[in-house]
Amino acid sequence: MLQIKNLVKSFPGGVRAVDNVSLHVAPGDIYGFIGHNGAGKTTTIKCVTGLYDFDEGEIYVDGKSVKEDPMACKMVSAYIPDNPDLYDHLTCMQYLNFIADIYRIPKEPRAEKIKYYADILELSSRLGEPIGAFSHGMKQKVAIIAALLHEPKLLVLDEPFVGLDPKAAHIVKQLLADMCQKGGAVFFSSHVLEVVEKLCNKIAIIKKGKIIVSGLTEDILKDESLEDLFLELTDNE
Amino acid sequence: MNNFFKLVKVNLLEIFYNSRKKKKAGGGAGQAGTILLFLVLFAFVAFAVFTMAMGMGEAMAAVGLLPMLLLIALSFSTIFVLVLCIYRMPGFLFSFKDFDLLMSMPIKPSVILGSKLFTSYLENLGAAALVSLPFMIVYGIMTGAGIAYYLLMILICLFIPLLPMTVGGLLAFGLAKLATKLKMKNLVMIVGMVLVMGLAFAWSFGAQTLTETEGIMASLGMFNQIGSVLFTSRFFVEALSGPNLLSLLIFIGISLGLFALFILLFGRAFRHINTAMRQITGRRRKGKTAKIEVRSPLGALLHKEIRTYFGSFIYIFNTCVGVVLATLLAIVAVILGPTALSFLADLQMVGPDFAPFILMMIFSFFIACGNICAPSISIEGSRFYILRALPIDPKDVFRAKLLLHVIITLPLMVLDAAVLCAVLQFSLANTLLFIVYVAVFVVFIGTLGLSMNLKFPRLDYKDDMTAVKQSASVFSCIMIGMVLAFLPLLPLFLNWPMTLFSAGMIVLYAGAALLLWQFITHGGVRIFRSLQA
Repeated sequence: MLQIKNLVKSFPGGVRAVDNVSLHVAPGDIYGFIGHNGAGKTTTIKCVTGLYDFDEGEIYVDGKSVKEDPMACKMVSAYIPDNPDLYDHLTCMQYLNFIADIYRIPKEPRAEKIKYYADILELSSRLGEPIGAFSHGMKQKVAIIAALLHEPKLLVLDEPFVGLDPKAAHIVKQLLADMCQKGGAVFFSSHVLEVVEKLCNKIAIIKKGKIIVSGLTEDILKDESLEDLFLELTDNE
Repeated sequence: MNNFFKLVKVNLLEIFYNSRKKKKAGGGAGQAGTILLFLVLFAFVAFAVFTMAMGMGEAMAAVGLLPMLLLIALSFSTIFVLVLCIYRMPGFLFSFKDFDLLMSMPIKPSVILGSKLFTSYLENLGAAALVSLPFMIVYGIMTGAGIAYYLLMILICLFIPLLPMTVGGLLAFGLAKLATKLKMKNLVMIVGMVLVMGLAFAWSFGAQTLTETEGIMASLGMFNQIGSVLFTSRFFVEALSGPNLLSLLIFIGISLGLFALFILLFGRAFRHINTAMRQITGRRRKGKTAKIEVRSPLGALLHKEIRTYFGSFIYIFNTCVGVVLATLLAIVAVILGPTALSFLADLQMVGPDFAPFILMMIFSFFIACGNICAPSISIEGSRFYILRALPIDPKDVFRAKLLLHVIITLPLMVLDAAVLCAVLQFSLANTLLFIVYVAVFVVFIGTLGLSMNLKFPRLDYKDDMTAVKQSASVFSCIMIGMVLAFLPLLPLFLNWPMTLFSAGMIVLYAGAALLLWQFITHGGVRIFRSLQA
């Protein structure tokens, strides 16, 4: 579903934020991407979602190149940033309509999905309110609903659990699991290592732009906790 | 006081850091171009004002009224800074993005207000100096003043912006205070500022009657009127013409004292008003706004643009000036008849058929002042990622932004143009020429704005005002628009046929708009795809 091959991304000033990163997210995978602050997680994610151009390497989403056919890649994927700045002057419903219009979702399936996700994320009574009046967590919920409306094959999330209350976090985990059971894939970064350990069947740890370990969670962890492994690897490398 | 200087330092570092960041990111050439353009314009305006001051100085010296030059210096600069403040103060004071951070720190709100106003003061000082110094220098030359005069001149100039800033600030606070008590804050702020603009417009028509008699002496009546309102003017003139140290101290004391009093008194209200202005009330509406509405992707983008535009007081106010002024002009013409536009007769040099071309110039100014497209990429700011991450054709984004500009600007401008043509009884040919010119110029300005914003985008602004007013693209568009506005009068000096020239201008602007659209849909798409928020 997502193939990253030898990705290199530098910023002006010669800073190599992502240095020869390769990884593969197959259908059904929930892939956890972890690293310390400034390691290159968000940069990698932004390259995958087409927000950043990259210097070398290739990224394929559902077999299509992000460089050659970005529109096709975006049609089958969805992105939720760590700090979802949305259009404050649109109401929740107007924003969801906007996203659904872009993905050309017909009226009835759109209405069904909005109702379904708004109900389970407890936003049904707030659909008519401007997004600017929402808390961070509520905006996160709106962003999640918007991302799921078009049933993406790949969901890319940057710190998805920040700002969510425990109930909402639990529901989101369930939604991600359901999505993968239906053949989709999830690629997300997080600092909440317990969630990554429980939820993800594959993980990769990035440090200073380089992948230091990647693969099946059970193979990597063995008898260690992810936190211990992470601290060991990121301190010793 | 310590915190005040620290905040001022941070504000100034922010400005310089952003300049250096742009330079490092390869924006050096564009930035250098903007600075050069700005310096050229500054020098041009300074020269024009100086030339005018020399002319007025000679006339006044002939009748022994040279000190009036000093009154004129103060009047012009005060009015100029006041207009700037009315225009910018509400946005400047009530939409800066580090509000939460500053308010959470152990700093008095009055200190925060003072630091913000100080940054604004530096900008207004430049404007005040540009308008007042030429007059004061001419006075010094004509009276053979010594070095002491020029030192006094520089010192007193530092305090000129304070009084108009105090008045502008009071107006901004008054409006904002009213807006916080009502639900539709944006509407209140917009209507309030439009009313203030309308009053200023109406006053200028009244003041015109004082300038209708020929000669500079007739305009002295207007400056005497201003002088009687501007109570510090007596001390200003005495301080420089004497020189009179006591008058100087009184002038500085009044200006500084009122400004300081304003900051102290409104420091508390500043926090409350800012908080209230930032609250977007979440009305539970289960009616229209909770409805499923299906649009095409372009329709969805246009709807988003419209909602964003009408959701930002700063965006509206800083781009509606032209439309408002054109509409006010049309209303005045309808109510008072053609005689209210007697300034057109004053400007006519080649018969009554010249009026359409003067109006073309005026409407070109109005349209250039209201370029909704010029900040339309920058206004996306931190939400830009939404457009980049979604499967949206960048051309649809550009179409939506240009459509917004055309929908807001074109109908009213064309209507105002038609009303003026009817009131002034233009011939059918001139009416058609004028209306088509206005329509084509609106579209051209839109494509120019979009092109400029793609060349000079700024997605890291801290407040709406930076994106809407302080960006290089907005500045460049206004400057280009101002220069182009004079073109309808060019045939007058070159002895070309006006009608043919204007028709040619229409064709050229249409062609230029098409060329710019080509750039937008090709080069612009590449730029859009490379932008990183």
